[in-house]
Amino acid sequence: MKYSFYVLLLIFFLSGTSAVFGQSEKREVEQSIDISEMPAIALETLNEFWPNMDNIRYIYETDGDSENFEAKLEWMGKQYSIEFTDKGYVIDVEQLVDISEISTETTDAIRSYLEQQFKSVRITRLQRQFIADDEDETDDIDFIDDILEEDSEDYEIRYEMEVEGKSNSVIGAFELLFDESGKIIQRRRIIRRSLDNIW
Amino acid sequence: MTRNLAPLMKNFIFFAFILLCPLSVTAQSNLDWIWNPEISYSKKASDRTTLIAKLSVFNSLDNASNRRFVQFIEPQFSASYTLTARWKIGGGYYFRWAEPLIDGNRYEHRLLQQAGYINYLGDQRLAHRFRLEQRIRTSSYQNRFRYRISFDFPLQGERLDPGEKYLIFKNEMMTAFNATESDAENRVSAGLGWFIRGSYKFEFNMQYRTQDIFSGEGVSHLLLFGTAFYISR
Repeated sequence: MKYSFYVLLLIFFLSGTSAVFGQSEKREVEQSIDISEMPAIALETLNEFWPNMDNIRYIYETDGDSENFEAKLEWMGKQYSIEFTDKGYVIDVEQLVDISEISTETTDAIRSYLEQQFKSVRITRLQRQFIADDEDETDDIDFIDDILEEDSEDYEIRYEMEVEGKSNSVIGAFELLFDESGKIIQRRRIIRRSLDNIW
Repeated sequence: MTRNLAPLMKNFIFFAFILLCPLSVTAQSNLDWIWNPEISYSKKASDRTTLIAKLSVFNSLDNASNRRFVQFIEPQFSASYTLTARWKIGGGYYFRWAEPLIDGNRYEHRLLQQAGYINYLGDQRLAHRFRLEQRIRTSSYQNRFRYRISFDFPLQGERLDPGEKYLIFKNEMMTAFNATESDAENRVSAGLGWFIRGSYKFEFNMQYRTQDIFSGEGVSHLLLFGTAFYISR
């Protein structure tokens, strides 16, 4: 009884693992890295504004095709996330904000969208994205300088919002991207991990 | 080792130390050593409904060389329904085959009803589970209420990606009650998981159980080493 049961269990396990290791797939990976693994140009840019800041967290991201780097830091009471290319050039800057920090017109437009789409909804995360206008795309120092000085003529703003929502047809977590006026640009479902080990 | 990993590993070691401290106290008392392999298969039947099948086995490491090695074999079937983005309810049926006889019973049928609430902080999850059980044995019946709190989080970065590891901590309190007996038990565990890829994960955990708290015949202890393989579709 004892041995036959474990032979069956082993066969079941091996049949499962062969399926696991036999398949190749596009991997999306994000992991913490050491400062020494960051591109030098990215570190030069960061050092220009935040010299000797020691509580910056560095992240490496890849989807299998492209590689990006990210620096997360807190400055003047705000949390910033600065995304870089693999060469170290800035892609965009994100700032964690509360919805009360957005203009009334934009907030009204966003709330109107949420009310149309969901019966009940909870905002779990909101980030203001800064995207460089053309003239600053090759000058990262000017771009970040504009953000910190709130010189809004030189960058484009978007809002990336994560919500938990429920309607008659859908339920779950979603990532919503709005333009500066609150008009929806993109909506994606957030695929959460299976709950099988905590349920 | 990444910058985030070092303090987390220190916390894990500290937690494991706290977890195992009672062993030094009970080293000479009634302590059972168990290896508990599990395999779980879950499938989303719809946007809201998930079906779960699980096989769990209790092996007594104290009896590894004789026929009392396999103590329980438990096939389990359950379903869950998503009420909101955070609340779930569900129910299921467990069957236990015991060898040798446990409390004079070879078979046990178990019905369960449960509700769960999950808090998300990024990819860190704090889950509360409330469960009612009806344990039907050949010659006895028992109700049981269980509450479990679980916390798991990735060890590398803010999101758990394929190939990465995570830590999981749980504590469960339960009380059994019927007309003739009542009892209480606590189960605390710490585990290390490996998220192999989208549908597969493997978990190793160590669980310490304090049992028979209200029995009046002395508290018993159980140390359980768990290995679990999860498949979710």
